[in-house]
Amino acid sequence: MNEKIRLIVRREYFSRVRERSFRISTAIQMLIVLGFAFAPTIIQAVRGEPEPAMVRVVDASGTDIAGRLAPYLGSVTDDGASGNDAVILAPASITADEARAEVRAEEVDGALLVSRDPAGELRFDYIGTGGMDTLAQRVYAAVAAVSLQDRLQRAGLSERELGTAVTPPAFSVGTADAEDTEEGAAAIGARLGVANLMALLMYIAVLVYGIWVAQGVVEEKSSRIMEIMVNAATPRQLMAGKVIGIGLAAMTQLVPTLVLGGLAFSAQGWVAERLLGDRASPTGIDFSALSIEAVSAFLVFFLLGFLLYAALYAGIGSLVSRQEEVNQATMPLTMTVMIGYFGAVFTLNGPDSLGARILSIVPLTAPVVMVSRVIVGHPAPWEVALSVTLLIVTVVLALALAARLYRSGVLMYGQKPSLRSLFRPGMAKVAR
Amino acid sequence: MALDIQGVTKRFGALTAVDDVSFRVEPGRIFGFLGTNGAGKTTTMRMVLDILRPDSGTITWDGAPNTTVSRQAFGYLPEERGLYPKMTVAEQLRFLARLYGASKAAVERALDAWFDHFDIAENRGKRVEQLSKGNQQKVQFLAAILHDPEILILDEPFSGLDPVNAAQMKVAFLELRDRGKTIIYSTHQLDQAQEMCEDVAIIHRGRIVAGGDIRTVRRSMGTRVVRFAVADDPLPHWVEAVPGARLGERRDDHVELLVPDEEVAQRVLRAGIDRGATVTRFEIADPSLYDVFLASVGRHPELADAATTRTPEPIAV
Repeated sequence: MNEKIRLIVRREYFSRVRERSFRISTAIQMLIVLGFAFAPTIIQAVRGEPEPAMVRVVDASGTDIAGRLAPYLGSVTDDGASGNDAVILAPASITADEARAEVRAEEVDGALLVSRDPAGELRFDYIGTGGMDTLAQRVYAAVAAVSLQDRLQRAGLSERELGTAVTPPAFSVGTADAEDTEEGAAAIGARLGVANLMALLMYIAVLVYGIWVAQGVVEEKSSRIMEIMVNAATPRQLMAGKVIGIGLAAMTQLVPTLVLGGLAFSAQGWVAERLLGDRASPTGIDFSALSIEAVSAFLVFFLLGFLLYAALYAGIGSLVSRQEEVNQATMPLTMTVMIGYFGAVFTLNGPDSLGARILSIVPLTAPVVMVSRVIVGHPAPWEVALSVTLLIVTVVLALALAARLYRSGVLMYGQKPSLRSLFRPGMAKVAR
Repeated sequence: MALDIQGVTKRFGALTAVDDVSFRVEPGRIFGFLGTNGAGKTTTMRMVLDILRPDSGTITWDGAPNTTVSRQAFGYLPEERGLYPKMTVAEQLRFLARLYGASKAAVERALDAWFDHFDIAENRGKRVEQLSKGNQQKVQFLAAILHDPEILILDEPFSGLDPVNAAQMKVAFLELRDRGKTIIYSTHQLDQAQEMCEDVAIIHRGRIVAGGDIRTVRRSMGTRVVRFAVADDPLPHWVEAVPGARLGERRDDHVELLVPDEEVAQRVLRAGIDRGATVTRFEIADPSLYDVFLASVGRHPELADAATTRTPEPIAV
């Protein structure tokens, strides 16, 4: 590497890594990652066993409806309720008005009045919050099943025939792609999870560290050292050194956080089991979808995407004079990054749709979207090649533009350079 | 070995910032580049440094175009001061000198020597933002010279220095000159320039209006100054009667007369003696650089009081 670039990289790197704020923000990032990994488990452990909902059943039908509802909802009595979402059915021989009073007094969460009309049809009246809330929906699903059983029974089906009739059918979810048919829903879920995570990671990295680059340029501008720097080295060397140096500082913060995150999410199941015992439900991200293909696509596009946005942020940094203006000036770029991210999220639903294909070629959105497509969809090899090529060309152009804006910034201290002034004849003849 | 600027012109849109400027700076001599704010000094300096390129004309160092000269040959103290506020003094100077291309060992040696010269060795480990303004200025100067450049371009190196620091800076200047460096410096402190420079050029609205070695420039107006005083007559109007003599500035204890040559000066002296006056002071001198400067940029020299009522320079934007 060019000696001057090496010196600049070193300065940019160490001046950031040695800052106290660097250590603090690294610690905060790590805490956030640990929080995401363990917070659900810990919250569940602290809250303890959730109270199951209690529904009073007033059965005037003469058949044991509460007993028949139990398999669909939970338990008939207090003990023996299993799972977090069991509903306790409490049959009692009280009047409908008494049941209403219980609901009003919040002694129970709801009351189900069961009766039979003269034709023999079951009739259910549910008294709850009044709306079709989650509990009411679950009660409805259960009574629908029980009422179907009841009708079949009255039509004369035997106990065995009845059992077959209410068994759920075989049902699977797949995609239209031939390769996916072998794949279970779990594997597809894992790939979606990984793609989502990678998109989020790129999005956050570009936003956070892109701003670092813009601030680094503005720092040189506001401290007025720029003019010495362009005398000692060329703007291209300065830009390259800055982007690489800040990129390395970013990696120094990001990689340990990622490793910690990986370990934390891997340990999630084990921790949940220790804390919650058999109440633990399988959560977290399934890393089985991390193929070599996915990881290499991520690395290539992450690198190129970072370079592209770093150069653009540097260019924007050259246009402003004070740190306070950085956020406002970088707004359009931030919006572009967000469009890329949401594009990637929508891509997950239709990875090979026309929209996704366009977004995965356009350099500004390609890094995030193409990685998602590689993981979830089936981009043609030429699409990937075209995307990478366009991205490299754009990175080179963006760096040249940034160097030019940096140079113009030196010559126009204190002025707000308009786009036109950057290209007027005098400026066009900037040296080196 | 000389820095040669030949017919250099630079335009920004409709504005001709530098118009057919030529001058030559010899090594081992201090060249004062003088002009009002906006006259074209900084633009010319940036072109010498190859930060800007001229529209026409050539700039050569030792016969070679400045664009081909190594960056290490140039030391630059910009008018807009600037250093990384959070780096320590030593770190910062090492970084910049190495960036210019100096070797590690040479940088350490120069660092020790110059820190001693400027009495700032105890500030090595301090951050620049913690230093006094005068010390920041000295560090800024070191940032321009530590890589041992051959050509020093210093934009107002003395502005903002107290007399003690200015004296240290002046010693440094003279030492660099004696080492054979080529030094261009711009200033508004003309009395100091008169004392320090071997050569000057005065630039006005982009054009060189006077230039050459300082003696020639001071005589270029075709006028000499007589410092004259007689007892009991603070303002001797009668000298105006001597053909060719004009009454100039009135000073504390004498008046300045402007005369075209020594012959007229002698006539003034004779006239005084003939009137029976007691002549207490009679001295023939060249006009000060300050007077020549004002005359060159179109201000009449008698209009301003050179020594006492100089207004502070407005801050250049």
